[in-house]
Amino acid sequence: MSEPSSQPGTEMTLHIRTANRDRKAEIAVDPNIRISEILEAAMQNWALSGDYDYVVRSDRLGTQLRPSATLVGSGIRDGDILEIQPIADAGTGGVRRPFVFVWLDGRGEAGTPWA
Amino acid sequence: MSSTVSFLPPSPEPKSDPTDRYARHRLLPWWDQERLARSRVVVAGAGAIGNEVLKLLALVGVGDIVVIDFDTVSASNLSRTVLFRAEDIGKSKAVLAAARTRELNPDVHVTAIDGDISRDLGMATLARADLVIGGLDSVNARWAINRRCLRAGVPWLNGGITATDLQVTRHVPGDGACYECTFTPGMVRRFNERYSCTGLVRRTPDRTVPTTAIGASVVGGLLLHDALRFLHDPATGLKAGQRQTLLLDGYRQFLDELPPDPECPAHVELIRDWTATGLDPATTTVRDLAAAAGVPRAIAVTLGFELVLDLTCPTGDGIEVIGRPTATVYEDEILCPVCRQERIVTRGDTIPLDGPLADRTLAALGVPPHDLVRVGNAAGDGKWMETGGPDPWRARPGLVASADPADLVFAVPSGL
Repeated sequence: MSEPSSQPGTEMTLHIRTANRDRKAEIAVDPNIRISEILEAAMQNWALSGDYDYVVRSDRLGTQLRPSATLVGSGIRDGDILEIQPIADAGTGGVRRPFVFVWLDGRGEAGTPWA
Repeated sequence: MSSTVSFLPPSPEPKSDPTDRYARHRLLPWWDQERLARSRVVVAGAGAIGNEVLKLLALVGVGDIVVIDFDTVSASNLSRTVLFRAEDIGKSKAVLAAARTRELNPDVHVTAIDGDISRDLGMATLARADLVIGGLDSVNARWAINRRCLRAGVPWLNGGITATDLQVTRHVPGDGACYECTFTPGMVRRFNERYSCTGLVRRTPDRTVPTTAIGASVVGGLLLHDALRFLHDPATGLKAGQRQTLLLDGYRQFLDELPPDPECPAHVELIRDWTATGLDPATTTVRDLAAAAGVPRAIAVTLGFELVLDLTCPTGDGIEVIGRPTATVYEDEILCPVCRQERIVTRGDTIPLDGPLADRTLAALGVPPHDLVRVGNAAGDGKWMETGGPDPWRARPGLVASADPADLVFAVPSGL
């Protein structure tokens, strides 16, 4: 199934901002460009930290937008606000070590080593 | 026409048992303490978020918990982990977290697995969980738990933090977007950073992201809130494939639907039926298990994860049979010990019954207790079989798999 497309030359104006609203801009774009292109341009223009991966979301739609989809295919309309949001994926770092399997039984006696 | 509003006399306060630790919970109309006591939750990751989740699971009285993590406690963990102490540095996170969780509430049964979520928690063990809560720190670990939960048909909650942004996502197999549906090019790049082009593990330093105890604490609370809603009624709380984001600095919160990807490679067949064998992987060979399955003209056994089967020298110095999970074979092992050339790596999840690995025990290949393996024949017929061995759920209290024999004394805290 092909995505909906718009006639070439019919630019739309969008407002883009970081989700915490410390950066914002107005852009004029071809409705057929991909979400990933908007994200890449925003990351470069605002020199966003490379420590994170980012996604683009639409507040009006309440959805995260697929990077490979076009603006028009994502249901974005002229005048919409797009937000750039880092993916929160940290936990804690730790010390990785080689794994040796040893099982214990309920009383704490060593069982059969696995390997 | 006039109307009156009549206030009725207040209902008498419900009598509470002064010895009941859950008395305040029982005042909530939707709360079912007995349901929570019967619930089984896997906590994947015992770091900053996992600590908060375990603390809250114990306080609310979730009855049966399995916690899995392969890491040890380091000094930098101590600023963000409520269950660890300075004297714990170097010891297993999972074992310590289980012991301290049990101290918080002796009603709660907790089992620690000091291992890797991608293979050391048996698929049948996972399938018997009501819910998995992930406090993980990498794309790779989330990818692994997502794939296994989809296969086992178990919903999972994915918690994540940055310094000031917190996110909780609910993933439900067969409903809405899974974690892999949301992969961005950046996530794919990070996923692949851990592996060489031959698929072996690179010795790369872990990525570190600034975080604080505040983020871990708040996201732990958000995860537990959604977990409680789910355990009481899966139709409440976040929707399948929905993400809650809380921005501490922006004082904002929003909910996003994540777009499902119809071509997502993670959407594999759910394992619905299997046969429990009671065969302990520590003493059962691949061939023994195949024989027990009774599949006519069986030719192979397929595991739930990928192995490096062998390494072949390109200059004719022989084939080395490996038989270890791919995630444990590092790229520097690829060199031939004789000619120092890079060897050809054969990887796969299927053990042929006429090959050299068929007489190894399942445990030697990395198969944990209560895992699911498929015995198949050339016609494509097959049968999923559950291995036996110690059961991490309530049936076998005290079960611990430790990465270091030196941990063993510590690994059996009283009452665990």
